[in-house]
Amino acid sequence: MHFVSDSESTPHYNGYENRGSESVLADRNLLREEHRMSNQLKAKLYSLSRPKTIRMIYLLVVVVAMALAAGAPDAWGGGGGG
Amino acid sequence: VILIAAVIVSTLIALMRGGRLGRLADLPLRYAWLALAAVVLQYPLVYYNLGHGAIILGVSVANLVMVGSYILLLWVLWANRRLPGLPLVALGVLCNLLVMTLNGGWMPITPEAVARLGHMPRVTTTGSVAKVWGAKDIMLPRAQTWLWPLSDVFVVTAPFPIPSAFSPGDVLVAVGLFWLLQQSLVKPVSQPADVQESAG
Repeated sequence: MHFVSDSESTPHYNGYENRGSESVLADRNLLREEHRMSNQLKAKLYSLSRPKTIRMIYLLVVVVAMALAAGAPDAWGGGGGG
Repeated sequence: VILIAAVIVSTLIALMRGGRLGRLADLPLRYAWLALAAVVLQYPLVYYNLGHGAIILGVSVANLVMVGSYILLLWVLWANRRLPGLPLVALGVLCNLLVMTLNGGWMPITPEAVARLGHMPRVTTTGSVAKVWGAKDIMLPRAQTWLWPLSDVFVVTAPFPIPSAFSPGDVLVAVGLFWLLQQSLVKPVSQPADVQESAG
């Protein structure tokens, strides 16, 4: 019968324990990073719904509409093929 | 297509000059929705040839709607005449409207220009009118065109990335919108008191 002494088992046990805590730490960091990115994405999405952003997009569309309505080139819009 | 490209290029130039897209929201453009309405009116005429058969007082409904859409646009431009570049856009619209009205409500383009661009397959003939599909153009020989210099006289072909024909009015529209975008994106447009009150 082979008994494992403390001197043999401790390094192995500690190594396992160390790998475990590193892995938990990495998981936590990953979660924190994901949470931070998700917050940034949410902030970006919320900013799109701000009245100022909506007005900016609306006016950009209006400027394009103005160009289309005013001009008369031989190929008008996207479907014109020119 | 070429005018959409002009708007995109103008926006990019303004951004490269340190402009911010967010500043466009401060542009006090009044009756902006009328410009959208003008496009909505023109779309079925350009792509579906609607209203060509119906005649009211000797004029086809398509021509009346086209001219009406230009009047809507002139209304918007008049209401915003103090904004930079828009008087130039209005001048371009007037040039286009004048030559179109004198030539049956459509922008004339010569058969030679259509052939150079390789757009002959897009020409559809209804009665005596040879219309270019996907455009406000009709094909007319130069000799039969009223105010030919204001029609689609500029023809750019390959290697230009967007082969197209356009009018002096189109050039004025592009320059006016370029100026508007430079002034409104790069530095905030000053808002006159009366415009501030009724913006939207």
